[in-house]
Amino acid sequence: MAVTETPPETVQASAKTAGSGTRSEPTGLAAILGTGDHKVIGRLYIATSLLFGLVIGVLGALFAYEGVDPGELDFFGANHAYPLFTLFRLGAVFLVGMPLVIGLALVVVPLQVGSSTVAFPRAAALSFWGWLLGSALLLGSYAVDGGPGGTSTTGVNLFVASMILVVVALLVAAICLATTVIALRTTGLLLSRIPMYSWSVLVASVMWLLTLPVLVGALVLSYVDVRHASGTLGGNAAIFGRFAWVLRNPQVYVVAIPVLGFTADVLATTARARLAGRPLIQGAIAGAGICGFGAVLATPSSAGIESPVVVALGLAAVLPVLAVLGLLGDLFRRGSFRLTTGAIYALCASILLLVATAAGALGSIPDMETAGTIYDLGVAHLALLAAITGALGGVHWWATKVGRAPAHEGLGRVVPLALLVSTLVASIPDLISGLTGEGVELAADWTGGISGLNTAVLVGSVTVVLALALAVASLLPIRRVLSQVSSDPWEGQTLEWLAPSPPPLANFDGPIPVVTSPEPLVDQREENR
Amino acid sequence: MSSAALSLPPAAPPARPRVLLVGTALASAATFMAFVGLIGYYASTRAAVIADGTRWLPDGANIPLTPGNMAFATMVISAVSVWWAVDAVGKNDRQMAYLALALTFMFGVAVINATSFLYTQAGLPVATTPGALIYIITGAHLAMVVVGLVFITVMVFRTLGGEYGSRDREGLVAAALFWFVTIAVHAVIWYVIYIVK
Amino acid sequence: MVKSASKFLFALAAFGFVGAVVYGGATAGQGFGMDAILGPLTFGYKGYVGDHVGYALLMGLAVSAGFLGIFLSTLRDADAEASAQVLGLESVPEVPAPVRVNYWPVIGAFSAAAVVVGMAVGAGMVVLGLVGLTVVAVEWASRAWADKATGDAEVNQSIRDRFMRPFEVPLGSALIVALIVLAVSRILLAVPQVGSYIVFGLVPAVILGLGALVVTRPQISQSAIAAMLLVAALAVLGGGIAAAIAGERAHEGGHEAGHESSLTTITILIPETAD
Repeated sequence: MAVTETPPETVQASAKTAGSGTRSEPTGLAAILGTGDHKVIGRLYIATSLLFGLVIGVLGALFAYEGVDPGELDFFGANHAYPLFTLFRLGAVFLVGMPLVIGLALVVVPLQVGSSTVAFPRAAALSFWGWLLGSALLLGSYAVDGGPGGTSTTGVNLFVASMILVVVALLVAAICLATTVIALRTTGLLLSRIPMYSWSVLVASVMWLLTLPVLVGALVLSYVDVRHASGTLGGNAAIFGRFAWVLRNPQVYVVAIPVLGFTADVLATTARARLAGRPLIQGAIAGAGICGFGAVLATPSSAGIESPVVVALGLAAVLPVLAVLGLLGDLFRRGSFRLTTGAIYALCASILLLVATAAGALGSIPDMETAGTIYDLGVAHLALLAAITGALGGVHWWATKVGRAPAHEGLGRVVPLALLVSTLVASIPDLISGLTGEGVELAADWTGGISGLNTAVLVGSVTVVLALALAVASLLPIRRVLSQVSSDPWEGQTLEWLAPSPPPLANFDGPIPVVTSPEPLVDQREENR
Repeated sequence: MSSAALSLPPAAPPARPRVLLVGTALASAATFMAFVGLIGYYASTRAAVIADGTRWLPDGANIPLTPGNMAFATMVISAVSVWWAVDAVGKNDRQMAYLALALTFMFGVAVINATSFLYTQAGLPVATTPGALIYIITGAHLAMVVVGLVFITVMVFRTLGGEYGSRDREGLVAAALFWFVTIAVHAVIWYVIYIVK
Repeated sequence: MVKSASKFLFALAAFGFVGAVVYGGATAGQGFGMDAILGPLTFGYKGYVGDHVGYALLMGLAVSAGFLGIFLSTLRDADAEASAQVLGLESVPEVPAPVRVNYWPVIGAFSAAAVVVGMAVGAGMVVLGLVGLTVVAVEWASRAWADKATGDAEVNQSIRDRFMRPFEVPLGSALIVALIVLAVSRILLAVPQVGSYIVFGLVPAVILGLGALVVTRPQISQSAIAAMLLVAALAVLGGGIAAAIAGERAHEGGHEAGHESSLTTITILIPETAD
């Protein structure tokens, strides 16, 4: 206790003798298991969620295959179709969409705000390992016939408990991200000056933190109900219904909010112009967050869905997206636009989000009577694939910060277009089927949609999986070790491009100059001219 | 590593303020929302049962008011003691701070004790709708109290270690913030479950 | 002055409050009237509130977003300049990147996973997980404290070691032994009689072999040790699940069939929205 009784400022600052013998830090697996580096944690999230993405994508394609002729084709069997369908829906959000978005944000946000680390780096590491183990246990619960509607009591209990771990782990990551944006910004980087991507991550994180705990509460309720209360609150049969609000609009839009920030940052850089109307764009992104408050439908009821609040949320969600894209359109007029892969990704992701929110707005009109139909599935797929496209675009755009080298440009240009077309082909038939009253969103067996249109869904779903595989292939080159990689390959505007590529442990080589505008690197270039 | 080594190293650089506070505020708000959802479900289910003309609590079950009131009063008092600790650390009055933190810890344990006693008196089976809901909500709150106590204990440890003092008491303020939210949640539970019944 | 983050949070709070009043009144199904407004404003004390869950969540959103908004306003959105002023410095101190490896997060995650498995299969794993989480909390706190003891990372490490090692070595050894005994006993109870003889012989041999390997080859990489521990931890989790699914064999009467309780009837609940 000798040290603790001596206030630190009274200790003589000298004599490095004590710490002369530095210990060697481990490498390889030992280093990964013990890492607190936000870039490594982010990479782990990205790689694992992409792996899950391929599995969940194949599962979706198999469901689409069965949907072509549900009367004849019975790929999963009556007992397994429903649990596996819940795995497909839940996995798309909690094993793929959210972790992919969070992984990219964990890498990029600290760099964008000029911090050497993410807030609570060890908690961020805990979040990844917790999420990974929770996901593994979740898949394990399905393997032992658990999951909603499963017949194994142990498996159902394991499903509920592992979902709690998965959601809590993702919430911990959201706390780390939001705290980084709020409390770890470098000098001069006011929130009104931060890059739009970081702002959109802040908005999404806050929305997750104020909505997903409701799901945790519902899961605790389900657990006690199934395990200790003999199903008095609905038991096994009620479990998946408690998830419904997270998987549909407006809540599912929250995963896609970072698409707006990514698009704003990328288009401004590729247009070589400063963003005009920043407060309006920030306000629109915040508005998109508010419109994503889907917890109001935590126990869905007809009265709730048709209430003015829910209808207004559904109708209004398209407005912020339109506003952001409209304000960004000004860049094409003022700037000298370059067609980079990042820009193609950003535009494709934005189009998907626009279609998703527009379809959601149409479906929110009570007279359309789409609630609870396969229409909601189509909207959810559009929004989720918008988020995934945006996140993949982010990995491509920030490839030299996420990895060590640029991604494959040629393949990269094809992927977003393939994702855009295949997502539209896979989702629009569901919208049409829903509008005509065909198909139930949470069917006990796969009976959704108009059978003729389901062939298009199959084609779209298979193409989505192929596009995802192509995306992974286009990103593999980022693992290469090159002798020299440009720190700023796109003439960037924001602080992440000040960091070397790949960034060192502390991100920046020296002190960051005081930020005086939202585009510090543009200021620097103008000063050097 | 000799005693000379301990006396020679440079002073630790000051920690960046606000980081722990902001993180704690976000976590507290998230925890609050989890309880809001559960309490909303409780109120909804109860209203539906009463609308059917059925008695909410099953025959033979009762929620005695005294232990619930005692638990809530204890929680409210602990708000004073925890802020007393923060204030004392701000004045570098460590003995007073330890006393206040010990009191807060004791109050927290007393709340757990009072709620456990209430469980024994209520005679409420868990395999009933009100039983399951009440045990879930109050049990989750007890878990929150335990987390709050762990948070406070960790901060006591770090205060003992000399990390917090008049210059920097952020960790203690963060623990107090979480404790205040725990009290706020208890206030809602007290009204909705114990008073309205 | 209200800044960007606070503005967003206040807007969210305003939406929550207005939304709660409108939603509570609209879902009551009593038409538009004074009761439909009074109900949501008085938390249902007067008048009507319709869907309690949505109403409570919107009100909760108003309270929590409002709280965060006020909180961040008082911190001036935690801007770097405002934080520097708190310390009386010219510029705010940087939060250093974590240089050293730290295995407590991964151990914490495994402990949380053990709790999860225990929630499904039995109290033993829950206790194991809670013990793990307690150890992680203590170690994490001690490390956080030690990291700020001085400005020298090596000295901080030695301070931590001097303080914690007298507890860690004996308690850690006891815990590891207890863990192995508990895990192996579960396996022995679950596998058939002949299998239990094999496990009883095999597990000590594997432990002895691995121990000998680590001792006789001090140059063995930390990654290899980490991989071994990882496999062991995964085996504990997987074994716990498998043993619970298989169930204990019957020890009396010579009948050794596994069993599992199962849900006999499952009715899929289609939410009301599907109507």
